[in-house]
Amino acid sequence: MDSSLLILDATQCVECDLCSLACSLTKTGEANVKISRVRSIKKWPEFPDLNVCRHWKCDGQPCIHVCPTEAIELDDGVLFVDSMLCNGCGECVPVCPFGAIHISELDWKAYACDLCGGSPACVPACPTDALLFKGNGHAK
Amino acid sequence: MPSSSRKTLLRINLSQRTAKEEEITPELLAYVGGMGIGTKILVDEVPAGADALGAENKLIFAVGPLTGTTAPMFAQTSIVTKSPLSGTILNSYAGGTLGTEIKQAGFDALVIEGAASEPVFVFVDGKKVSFHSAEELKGMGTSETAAHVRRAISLPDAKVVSIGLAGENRVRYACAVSEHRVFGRGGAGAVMGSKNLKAIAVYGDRAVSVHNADAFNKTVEAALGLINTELENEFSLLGQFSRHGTGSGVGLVNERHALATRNHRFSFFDKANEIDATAYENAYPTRAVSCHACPVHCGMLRRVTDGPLKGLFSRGPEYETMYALGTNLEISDRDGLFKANDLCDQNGLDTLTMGAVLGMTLEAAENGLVKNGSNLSFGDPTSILGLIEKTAKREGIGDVLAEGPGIAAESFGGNASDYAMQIKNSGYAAWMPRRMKGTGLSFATANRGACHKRAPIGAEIMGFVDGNSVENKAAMVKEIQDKVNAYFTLVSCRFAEFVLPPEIPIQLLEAATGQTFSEAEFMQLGERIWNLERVFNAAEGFRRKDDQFPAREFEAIEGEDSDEPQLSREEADFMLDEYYEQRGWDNEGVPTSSHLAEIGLEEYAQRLG
Repeated sequence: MDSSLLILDATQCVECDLCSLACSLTKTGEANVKISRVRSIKKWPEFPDLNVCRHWKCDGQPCIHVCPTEAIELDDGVLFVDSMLCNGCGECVPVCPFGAIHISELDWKAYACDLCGGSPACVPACPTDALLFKGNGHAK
Repeated sequence: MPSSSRKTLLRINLSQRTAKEEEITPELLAYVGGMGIGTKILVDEVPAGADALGAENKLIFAVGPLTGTTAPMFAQTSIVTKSPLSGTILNSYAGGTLGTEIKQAGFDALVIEGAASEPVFVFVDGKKVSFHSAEELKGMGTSETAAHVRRAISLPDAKVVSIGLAGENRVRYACAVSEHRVFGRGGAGAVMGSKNLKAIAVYGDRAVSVHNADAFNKTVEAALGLINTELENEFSLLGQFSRHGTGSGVGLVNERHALATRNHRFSFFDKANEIDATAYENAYPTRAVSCHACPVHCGMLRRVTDGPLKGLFSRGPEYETMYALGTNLEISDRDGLFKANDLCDQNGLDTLTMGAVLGMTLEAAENGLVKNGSNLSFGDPTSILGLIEKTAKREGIGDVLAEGPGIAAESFGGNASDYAMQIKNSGYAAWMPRRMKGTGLSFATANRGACHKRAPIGAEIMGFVDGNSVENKAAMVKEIQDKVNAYFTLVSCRFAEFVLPPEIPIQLLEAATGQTFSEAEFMQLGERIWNLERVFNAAEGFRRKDDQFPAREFEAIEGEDSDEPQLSREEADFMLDEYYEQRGWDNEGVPTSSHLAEIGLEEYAQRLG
């Protein structure tokens, strides 16, 4: 379990995808688990992996360093992808230890969770409190 | 304006190995989706007298306008086909995420036609369809098949529906299985097997848009509010299912002496608490899993961490299986029942009909009607496990058991048919008509045979109406059948109707697609589908004689205070007469031309000649 920002408890996750649906609705206006920034990955019979950016507990933050165009940075407590700079090369995708950064098929730019600017849409959607949010004053 | 319906179906012809997209006509779209569209296609395209296990039968996977959206409790996929078990039309449902995938691939329905000459699996990758050899998958269980298919197409996220050995061997009640969720009852898995179709994999990533997002989101909020209020109440039905799964009902039903035991001779099982939800939770690490977008999470995934079954994991057993392979066979061995449930899931066998077959077989063995059957007995898991395996393989006695409870009983001879708990060769669900007469009428009149999906179970078991009375049961049964059918066009979970009143699905449908229904029109949609199914069955020769209980129903339940039978033949006839009248059918249970015209089905009167 994490100690700050998004608190994830996979042992409570029932794999309903309500978090992913809330995320995609908020970010794109459409329901589509496959473009969500937070995803529950089935590993039956084990508990699922909850894939979402956790930069605050990410060693070395490799996505930032691997990006050839310096498009990714931490901005006031959230991961920020500058779509003007991102060239869609995808080098950030495999290095993410949380499987949390993706390339959009709409504009071929990288995207990841930005905590919805401090009020993540996924959190209230979770029926089992597998996702909780603790603002730390940094996130906008 | 966008619609959450794709208005597109995909025809997959296995004989020709072709796939072709087809626009869904407005006439078909009037049936909304799911069971509605599936029924209309089957009735229109599969002629009377078609061999259910022949190439001319079709298998339709249909989703609905709410599939893949954020609407809670609408995650089911329906299969419609002609049943090789009953010879009637069959609709069958499973939850999980398969439906969402079909929708995201871009389709409202997959229509499987013809038959492959060699075992195949089909991969629907968005709009691309490919056919693959399944020669190496022969004999594999349903989960193993799914894992192999996902590896073969290098797509771990693909959703797979597969059959096991029972489907390959055309056991008449073989199921199709997706993620441990089972399309049960009348043999959709055998139809897949007869088509040499071992599995279908589906992948899609197209978003699902709705017609009016603001209205849709508001109604979803309202639905979630209703569901959450129910869930907060620990003692509500959904509250129990959410915490413990459907098996939480065993104790209550037993307490009311309505829990079918020892092939329906008794209504109380003194060891029921050894195989109920609590017993399983205490015995095995259990966690809840959901269908797409559902906060109820009634699926219970259990795994065995030590003992001879170590490593086994399964979703279940569900309530109905605790009856069918548990109390009905007097099995109180938790491991044995868990293993039996898993054997059925992996071989792809309907646990309800398997249980009815086994109950009849064990009693016939006691009566000396089963050759070499002296070692078979109630309460003995070894007997059960052996017979399940033989059935899946169609080996020895299993070849007879694979035909279904009615046919197997006839083959045993003697009085075995009297206690074969089946209607239209389809095994009983977990309820006792002698205790719940309206539910009994639902069993008798269900178009797919002995079915509990559209029965007034809650009202009767909770005592809101007198289960022992036959008064007004016909009207009650008609109403619930029509209502559930309407919900199944969307395609809802059976439990949605417990908590979401009709205005919710009606408003969701309008916001999702722009299709408007009044409540009366929505109910009539359900009625139209029910009549269309009846037309299909009547053209196959089904009549009043087929809407009948086995003789056991007219015996007294044993071990009770009274020796008087709880249900008489007169009462059964009374309910049936009243039901046919309510339905606008003739005394043989065939829809009349005038009634068909009243509900917009005049063109089908000719089919009944």
